[in-house]
Amino acid sequence: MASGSTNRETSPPASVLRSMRNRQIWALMLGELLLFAVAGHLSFRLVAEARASRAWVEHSHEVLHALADLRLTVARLSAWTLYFVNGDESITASRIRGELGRVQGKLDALRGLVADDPAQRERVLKITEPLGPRLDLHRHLVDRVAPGDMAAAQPIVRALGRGADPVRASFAELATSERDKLAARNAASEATMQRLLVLLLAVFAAALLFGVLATLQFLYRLRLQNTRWRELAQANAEIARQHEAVRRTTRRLDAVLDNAHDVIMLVSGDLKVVMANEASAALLGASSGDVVGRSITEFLPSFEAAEGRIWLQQALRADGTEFSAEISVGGCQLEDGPAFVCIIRDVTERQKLEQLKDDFVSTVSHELRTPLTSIRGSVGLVASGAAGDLPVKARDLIEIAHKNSQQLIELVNDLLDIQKLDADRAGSGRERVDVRRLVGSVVDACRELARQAQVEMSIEDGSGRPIDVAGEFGRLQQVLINLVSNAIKFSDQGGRVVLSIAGDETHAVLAVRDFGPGIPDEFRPRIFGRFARAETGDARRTRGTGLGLSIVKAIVERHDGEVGFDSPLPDGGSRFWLRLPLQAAAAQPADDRSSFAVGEHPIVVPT
Amino acid sequence: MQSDMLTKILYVDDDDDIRTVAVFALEAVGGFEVAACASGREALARTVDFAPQLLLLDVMMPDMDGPATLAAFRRVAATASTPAIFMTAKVQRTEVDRFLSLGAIDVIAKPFDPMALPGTIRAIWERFRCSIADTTP
Repeated sequence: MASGSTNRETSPPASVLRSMRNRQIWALMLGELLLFAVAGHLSFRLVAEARASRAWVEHSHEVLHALADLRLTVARLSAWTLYFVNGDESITASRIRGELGRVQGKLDALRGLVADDPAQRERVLKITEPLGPRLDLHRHLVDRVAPGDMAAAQPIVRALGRGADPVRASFAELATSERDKLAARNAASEATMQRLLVLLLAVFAAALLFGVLATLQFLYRLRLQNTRWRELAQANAEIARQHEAVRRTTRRLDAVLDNAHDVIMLVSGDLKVVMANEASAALLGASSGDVVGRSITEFLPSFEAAEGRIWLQQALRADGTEFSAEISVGGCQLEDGPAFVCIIRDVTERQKLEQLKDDFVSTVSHELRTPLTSIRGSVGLVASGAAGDLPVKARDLIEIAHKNSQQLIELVNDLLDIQKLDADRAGSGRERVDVRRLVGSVVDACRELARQAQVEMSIEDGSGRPIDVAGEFGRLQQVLINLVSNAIKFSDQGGRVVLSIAGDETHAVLAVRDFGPGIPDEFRPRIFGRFARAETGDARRTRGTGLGLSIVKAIVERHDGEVGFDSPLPDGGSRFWLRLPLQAAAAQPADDRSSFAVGEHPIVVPT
Repeated sequence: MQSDMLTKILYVDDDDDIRTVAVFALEAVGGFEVAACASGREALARTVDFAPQLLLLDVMMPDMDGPATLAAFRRVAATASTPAIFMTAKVQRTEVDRFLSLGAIDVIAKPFDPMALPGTIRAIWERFRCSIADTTP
């Protein structure tokens, strides 16, 4: 179909033309032929009429001519006779006899001319009858009378004279009537021919009109056919194009689906596999055909049809073996109701890598921390005087070493913390955490730091009832300790730091308030970013890795909470707040991990 | 057998420096009587003449690691029920749970603050004593 299309786009094939059953055109053409026949007939008649007319005219002229000739001869005869009578020697009797013969001859000729026409014969008779006796008289004269004998000729001449006028009148009359007849006949013929000509012209005009109409009709039909044909060809071409586009899209989609590494499945609302791509053979051990029709729970035992979810679980192969898989689900609408698009990714390798990374981090943390322990331990002991008094200069130097080893430990702790938070997507176990106990433990942990900075800590308890959140005690403690130690760090001597507890129906709100300098404007956007530190130029205050608040943010967000700050406050200082979802009922109550937490994140920073 | 006051600690760590620092801290700052050993084997031999109230065991040690050492102590009558604390840099939650399930009463993270170590240990001891008191009729 595709190859011959260019030709067919311009004109229909001959068969189409032949099959055009157009009655109108055929009728018009028949009419045309009829008209031509009529025209032909009229033309024929015209020509016949013209010929007849010409013949008649010729004949008439011949008669008139013969008549004139006769008259002339008769007149000459009369004249010669007179000459004879007068004794003219040049005119002999034989000559007159000869002339008489000629007259007779001419008379015969005339008679012969009008033999076919009775009317004309009648008229000619009017001439020839009186003419006969006259001729006899002439003959008589010539025979009996001697030339010059006027006396003997007189009675004959007189008789001739008497008969001359009627003959002359007859001649004239005949000529006139013949001419009149001719004129009338000519006029009639002319009229007939004119009529015929007009009819002919009319017929030709009609024929022309018919012809034009027929042609127009034909052309119109042809154009219509052409247009329809072109439209049809265009429609066909369009369909072919769309076909091709659909085929191309289908091919592409097939390529995408069948070459994807992950299993992509369409699952109906009742959890039956409607469609699966080729990867199911590699990952699930069952070809896409085998998988269709089975329930998705055969491969994903704890599948929950919920759009937008991504989770990890053990997936089952057709042979019963398991593998670690990441499942993502999207929703869609099919003709027969809602359905799901389920993508299964084998994450065995990824988990191996993550395990390797965790192992590495674990090992590195141990390797880093071991020498740090010794350094911090021994320097700390010397600095505290437990190994004896130091010379003044040595004391300063030891102090520097102690402070810096402390910082190094904090940095290692923070870095490993961040790494752990990054890697630990699933989150550890959630417990029920009593917010009051949490805040109390934080205050205990920061007591020494506050004492050394000469900052007073206090707790404001807004609500009267117990508040529990779901989370990890140790981590939340870490968050609050970080905020409180920041508040202490940025408070002047004699300043205050207030921890407040409040909540509404859905969330607990904990806040740490200080009355220090507040947060500079340019620092505000970066404050929860990594390695962000306020440029205050105050060495004491710029100490630290800059990771603390980013860790705080990560932990709070892992607890489905929010963290924020208000600064500067009208009374001065800043307030850092946490919003954590309340835990209605949780698994088991949290153990007090204070010793563990303290050991891991030492916050005592002797100045 | 176990008095309420904690005085005698058996400490095992293969790292000489850490051992020195820890012993210094525990003796000079904490006032404890400390027997320090470099390996689990040495520690087991030491229990002949030193009856500890508390075992303080490093986890990562060659040959016999902390858990293995503890298991060995448990097989000896004298130390079958002595409370033990592990010291380690590996303080991920899952590992802590594992150590606890092996019979330790707590885990102290490394690096530790030598100045705070005695207080921490005393606090752990107190808590342990309380829990014992709760359970004994």
